[in-house]
Amino acid sequence: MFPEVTLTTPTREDIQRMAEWLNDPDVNAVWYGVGDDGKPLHTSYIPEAVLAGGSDEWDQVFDDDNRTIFSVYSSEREHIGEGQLAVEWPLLEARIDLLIGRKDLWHHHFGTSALIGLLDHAFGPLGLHRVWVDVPEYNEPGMQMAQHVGFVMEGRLRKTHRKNDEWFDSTVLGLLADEYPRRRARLMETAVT
Amino acid sequence: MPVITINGPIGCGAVTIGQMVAEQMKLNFVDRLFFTEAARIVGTPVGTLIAKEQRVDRFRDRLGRFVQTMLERSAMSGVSGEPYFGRGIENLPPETYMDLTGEGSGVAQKLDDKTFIEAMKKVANDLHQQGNAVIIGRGANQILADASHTLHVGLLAPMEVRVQTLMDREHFEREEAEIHVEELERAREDFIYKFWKVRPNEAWHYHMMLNMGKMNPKIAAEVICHAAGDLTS
Repeated sequence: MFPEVTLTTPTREDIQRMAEWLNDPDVNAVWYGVGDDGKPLHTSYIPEAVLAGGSDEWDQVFDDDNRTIFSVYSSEREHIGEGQLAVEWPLLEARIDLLIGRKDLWHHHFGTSALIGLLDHAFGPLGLHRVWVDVPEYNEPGMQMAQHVGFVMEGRLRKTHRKNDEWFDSTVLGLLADEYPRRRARLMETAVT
Repeated sequence: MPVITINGPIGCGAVTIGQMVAEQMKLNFVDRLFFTEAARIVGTPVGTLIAKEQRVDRFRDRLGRFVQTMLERSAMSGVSGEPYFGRGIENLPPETYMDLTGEGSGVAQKLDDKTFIEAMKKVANDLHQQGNAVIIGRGANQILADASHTLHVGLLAPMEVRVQTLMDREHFEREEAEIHVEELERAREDFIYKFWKVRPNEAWHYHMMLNMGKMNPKIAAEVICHAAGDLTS
């Protein structure tokens, strides 16, 4: 069985924790690394900047029709990570970014559960047609997780992902709305047995 | 700057072999990404393009569309009566009957052919210009038929091999896999014929054809890498 997780609207405390997680070298090493200023990189917002800003800055990030950001919570109501859906409405597709910040929970399928939650939201309420992920070569667990959930390798591009002044290959994996139900059902079957 | 196109019926191993070749030769690997890039150019969901390639017009689908259209027309004109074959059928315009023969406006027709093919050409030509890529299917071998430094590989495999591949990969039951293989191959042939007026399994469209019933993917990848070596010299 996969662990139970909940996707919720982020709070300021969640974003404070995100800042702490991203500053952990073990965490940012599997994420986007650090920028030229030595600060950890993140997608779509800088936690410290959002926390320092007012409600306008907050709303700009967390009330955006083109990007849905969720906090990931465990069944013990502990904040464990963050998931994002960056939506391109004309194409009816979204890119998923998912980070489990709690290192002690890595490799325990919390990422898989959160990914299923994000896909359910993308193909359900949002009515999207395609969801994709871009996995750099150094994130082997992320690659395995996406394939395990049923993402299809759509392409592999050489030296497209820069981290800490080094270029890495990245793999684009996609999942279409009509592929998802069968693969989700299969995944749940294997999780039960 | 080699570009390698690999084409074959579903389940013949083109994706596996393509990944191996890309890995060995340190090339970009482009499979469905071809369509997602084309979709981005056109500004339409990728499913619209996939439907163009994999359009399988089963009789029951055509009948379903026919009935649905008829009911919609009937509702619009305020005609009531027997829900399936009642009054209103005589008022249907001829294109509704064309739907029934597979020539009408299905999902795949929502994107006009010219826009579709122009987007496909742009993606293929951009990839060729950048070089260093393995491209799986999507008529890339036709678009780049006479392009320089390009190797076109065709694959064949017996039905049994293709069915088994699909059963393993998609967890289909045998009967379901057989139907899928047959229908998608028919759709592939129709797609290639419609846009390039050629049959995809004819050998003269390729530098070489490999029978995947007679060799494993690893050997096939080595053969392709060896042949592609000439393109880099």
